[in-house]
Amino acid sequence: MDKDVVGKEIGPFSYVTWERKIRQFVEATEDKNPLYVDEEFARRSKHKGNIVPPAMANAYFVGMPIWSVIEVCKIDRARGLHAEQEYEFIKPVKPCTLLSTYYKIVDIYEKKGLNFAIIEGVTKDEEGDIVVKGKITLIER
Amino acid sequence: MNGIYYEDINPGDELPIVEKTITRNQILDYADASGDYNPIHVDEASGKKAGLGGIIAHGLLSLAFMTQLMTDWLADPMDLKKIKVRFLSMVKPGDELRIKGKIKDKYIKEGLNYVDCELISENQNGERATIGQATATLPSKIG
Repeated sequence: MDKDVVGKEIGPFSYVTWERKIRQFVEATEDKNPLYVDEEFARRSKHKGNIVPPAMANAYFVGMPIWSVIEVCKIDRARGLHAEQEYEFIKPVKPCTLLSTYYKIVDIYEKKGLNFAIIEGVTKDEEGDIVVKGKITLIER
Repeated sequence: MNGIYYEDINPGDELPIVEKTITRNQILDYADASGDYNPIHVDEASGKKAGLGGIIAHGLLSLAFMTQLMTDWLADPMDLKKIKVRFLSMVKPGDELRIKGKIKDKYIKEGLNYVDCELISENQNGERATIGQATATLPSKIG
């Protein structure tokens, strides 16, 4: 890993919460909450419409953006592992919303023969509001 | 999607268990859904070359299951405020996971009713695949 990249900011990474992707996500995770896909049910809820499953942060916060981190930190893909993941859910995300994710590499260190990379980030919606805060811990064996 | 009130829960209470059987197709579907096409998740040869015996499930798929444990229990998915997980061991096609949660603490802070939960995902051999913590808010019966 390249310790010189500590402090580097990466992004933004764009993602649109297309309804097709939401359906794909809830089917893959077997999540039957109607709030995500049943428009009639969702209209009667406090959200007044469908919302994106919180776990879909896996797609827009981590998904594709993480590969840029791996490249910037010079992590060997064959030895890299996703060790920990944290999310703080701030604001509901609606379908068909353009999201932007921003990362900062906050620390890289060695411990017990393993290299660690700590990345913190936020995802914002079209209004510039933070919808999710997150922290990723990667290990290089 | 069951609602529960702050007054009804106590530390030590267990959340309803979520059970998942991991299949190869599910791992591939999740790769499509999440955009994570790391070869160890989608290509058998890559998984074998990495010493994993074949493809393995995304760790974040287990996080999604733990999130579902919480959001199934809560009245509103957005009552889930935080989740943090650590991936301990590989999850492979054919694994049968039991995702469990237990209430660790409850407290009122700045006018909101909070609950902290401990989470664990175990496979059919009782081996821990993922552990975690979650914080949520609950409605009150009072006012």
